[in-house]
This record gives sequence, C-alpha cells and structure tokens, in this order.
Amino acid sequence: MNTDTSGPPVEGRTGPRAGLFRVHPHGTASRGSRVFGIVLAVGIAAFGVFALALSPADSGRQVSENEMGQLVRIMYVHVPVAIACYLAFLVTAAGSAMYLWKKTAGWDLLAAASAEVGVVFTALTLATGSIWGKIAWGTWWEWDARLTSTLLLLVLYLGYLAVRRTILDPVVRAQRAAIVGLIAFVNVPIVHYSVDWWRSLHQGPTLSRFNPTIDGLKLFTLLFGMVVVQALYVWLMMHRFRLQYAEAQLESKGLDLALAERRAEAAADTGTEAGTKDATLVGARKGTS
Amino acid sequence: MALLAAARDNEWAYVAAAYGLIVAVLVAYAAWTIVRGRRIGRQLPSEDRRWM
Repeated sequence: MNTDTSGPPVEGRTGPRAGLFRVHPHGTASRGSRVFGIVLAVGIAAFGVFALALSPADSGRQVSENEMGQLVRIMYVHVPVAIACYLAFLVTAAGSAMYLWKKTAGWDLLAAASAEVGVVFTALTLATGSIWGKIAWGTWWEWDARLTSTLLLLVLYLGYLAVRRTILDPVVRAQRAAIVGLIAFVNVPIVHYSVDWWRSLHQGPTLSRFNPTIDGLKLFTLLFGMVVVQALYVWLMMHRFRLQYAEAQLESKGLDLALAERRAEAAADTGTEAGTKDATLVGARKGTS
Repeated sequence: MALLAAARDNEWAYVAAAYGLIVAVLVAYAAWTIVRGRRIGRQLPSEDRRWM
C-alpha cells in the first residue's frame, strides 16, 4: 500500500532549514502549535524552578500558612491539573451541546478529543491527591465526598470514551456520545462543591472568591501553575483534535470503500450497470490508498 | 504520631513521586498522540490534513 500521499514538504515549514520549528510532514503539528509548544516548554521549566526551588515550604509561622511543609509543592500541580480536568469536561459538554444543536461533525470531534485529555488530567488529579493524602491523612484513599465524586467523574468519562468506541453508524454514535457527555458533566459541579456540601476530609478551596488562604510566592507559583497547565491542555488539544479529525477522515474513507465493495459484490451477482460503477470506484480507491 | 513524624521527614520523596508521575504520564500521552497522529497522517492525502 502506498502510504506516502502528502506530496513534497513545504519549504520553510518542513524543510531542513526550518530547524527548531520544523514540523513532521505527516504529523498533527503546525508551525503555530510548534511555536506554542516551545513557549510552553520554557514556561513549564520556569514553573518547575518556582515550584521546587524558589517557593518556600509551608511552615505555619504566618497566618496564611497551614503547616503543610514541603507538601505544599504537590498542591502547585494537583490544583491546576484538577482545574484542567474541569475545563476539559466543560469543553466536552459544550461540544456535545453544540453537536446536538448544529449536527456539525467538528463539535463532536472537539468533544471527543477534550474528553480523552480530561480523563488523563482526572487520573493525575486522583493520583497526586492520593500521594498528598498518604502523608497528610496517613492513607492513600478515603471514601470521602471529594475523592469519591472525582473517581465517579473518571468512571463516567471512561464510559463516554467507551461509547465512542462502539461500532455504530457515526451519526448515531455521535448523538449517543453527546448525550452521555452532557449527562456526565452534571458531576463536575458536584465534585467542585462537594467539600462545601458534605463533611469532607479534603481541605476547602485554596483559591476562593478572591480570598485565597495562601499568599506571596506560594500564591504566585500556584497561579503560574494554573496558567501553565491550562496552556498545556490547549497544546494537547491542538494535537488531539487534529488526530481525532484525521481518524474521522480515515473512518469515513473506510466506510465509503466498504459500502462500494458491498454494492459491487451485490451487483456482480445480479450483473447490473451500477455494480460496474462501484467496482470501478473500489478499484480506484484501492489504487490510491 | 511517630509514623506521621517520620513521614514528614520524607516529604521530598512524596513531592518527587507526584512531579515524576505527572511528567511521565503527560510526556507519554503527548508522545502517543503525536506518534499516532503521524501514523494516521501517512494514510491521508495532504488535502485531508487541513492544519498543514
């Protein structure tokens, strides 16, 4: 099978002189995503310096401190990653609602791509929270309201991804996935407000209504972490959405080919003229794929 | 209490575990996405990769 169908690389974007900004001729990167990725990498490195070196340990000597010691550094990644999973599922819900309204495939692809990135961030939220809990609470896991609702969130969106993998007509599958994507989002505010609504082992919001419980360099590092992680979500989405789009294109071509093959087989049995046209189409498609 | 105090002495190990896990998972996920994108992209004509 001939797989090289992209034509010659564009000079300046994919050519040898492009250096750091060179993008793979078949990949999901563009010049914009490459520049954004480089800026993001610098931001992540700077955040690492602030989070692990410059920011002080939480000693509890000041009113705004909570005696978290070095563990405060886990919060710099745990909170931004949790916010990123809210953002990802918000985009999934918005994409799902827009798909049900407009019936445009692009919204469905956006919802699907964001759900997968959101699942990764949710798993990381649970894992980093568990590491924090082991030392702060003395246990890896507790069936507390925040932890349980977050686990439920992960399971719901794994279910959403499972719906997306069912072998169905793409339109029916997109409709079902959109409904699941909207229903699953109901759990996001439950996760967020669970620490207020129920008695919880989990601490309350660190940043709440412009009245944060931390200040100074620690507050700056946390806010910086939020910017960096949300930017990382955007960068991952640029690639993941393009991958989703490419997969949909490939699936669509595969379906067209399979339909043409079936029609050609059926027509060959009856010897109709339409069957000859489909056989020609199958031959042409096979020749180009 | 003694166990908790001992754990507090070892806080950096937990911090390193959390950061290491996040970096490892996100790098692996980004790499998987990019590699899969290249593999799928090879099977598509350039006009179907509209971001290029």
